[in-house]
Amino acid sequence: MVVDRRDFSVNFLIALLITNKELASRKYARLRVIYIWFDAGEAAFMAEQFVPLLLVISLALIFALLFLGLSYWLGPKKASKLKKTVYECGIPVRGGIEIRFFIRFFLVALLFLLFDLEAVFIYPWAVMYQSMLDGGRMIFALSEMGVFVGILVVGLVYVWKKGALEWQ
Amino acid sequence: MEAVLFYLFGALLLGGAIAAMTSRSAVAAVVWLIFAFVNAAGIYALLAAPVLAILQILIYAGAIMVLFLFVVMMLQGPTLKSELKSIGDRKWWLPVGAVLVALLNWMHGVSLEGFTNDAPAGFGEIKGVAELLLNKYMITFEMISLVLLVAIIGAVALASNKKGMPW
Repeated sequence: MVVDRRDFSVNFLIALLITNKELASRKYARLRVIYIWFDAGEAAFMAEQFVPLLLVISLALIFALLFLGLSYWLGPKKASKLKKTVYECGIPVRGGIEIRFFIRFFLVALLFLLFDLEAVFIYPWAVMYQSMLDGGRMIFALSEMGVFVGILVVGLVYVWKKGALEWQ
Repeated sequence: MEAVLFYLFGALLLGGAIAAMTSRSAVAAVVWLIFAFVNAAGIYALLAAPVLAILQILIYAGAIMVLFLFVVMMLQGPTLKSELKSIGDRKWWLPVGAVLVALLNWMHGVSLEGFTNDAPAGFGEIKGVAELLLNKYMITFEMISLVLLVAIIGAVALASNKKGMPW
């Protein structure tokens, strides 16, 4: 990638993408300073892999707060009664703003969450799968996940039969 | 740096939790709780548990808090508004909190067998978690799906009445 090294902001964003090793090279000397500030030279910093993430989050926070603060500080504030009303797609508001949700939404959300958790537990299995194959334990790996998913398929069948997924 | 981040996340976590407890609007309380959970994820990351940190944000701050909002919105309106009191109005939680703090303080001094302060390399990463979960704790792994099954049945039972689904 060809980058003008004098362009600090571009380099800064690249710092979020390059690895620690590359950062040690002379090319990114200026970045190293920032990185070290975050790293504080602690060899035992267990969460080192999160440093780029921390940089992104801090940058996002700084920019968001900066622009919000600027608009709050610079923008004129002329409140009128109409301006303070609740916005509803440009039409006059009908009824209260605090509507009650139908329980169907809750059920769908809850069921989504449960099967979402199932997917979370499939992930470590997928990570281990290749090494299990190499260890000659394919049947073990498949039956382990088969039982896990099988139990949840029972749950899916139950939900289906009960009509909880109907939406008319 | 680690200590600085720990105290930063810790302070934000506590602040978010206190704001969630003392907030009079249920929706605002949920949003403060999301803030607290994100900071808890930061602490998990510092404790060399990246998988836990990411799951905390994905599952807890993401999915479960949406569920909380749904519950709030189902109860919202006339039911909640007049009833909801800030926890600041109640004083009994102070001794309860004191007992909890004392308990944590006591636990801090207890050393558990097989647990050390230093985590081995790769501990808490997805590989390390998978290795333990699928081999040593295989039965636990299968039990998790049973727990999820119970939760699925519970969800349907919550929404249904005697005749079945209300729709």
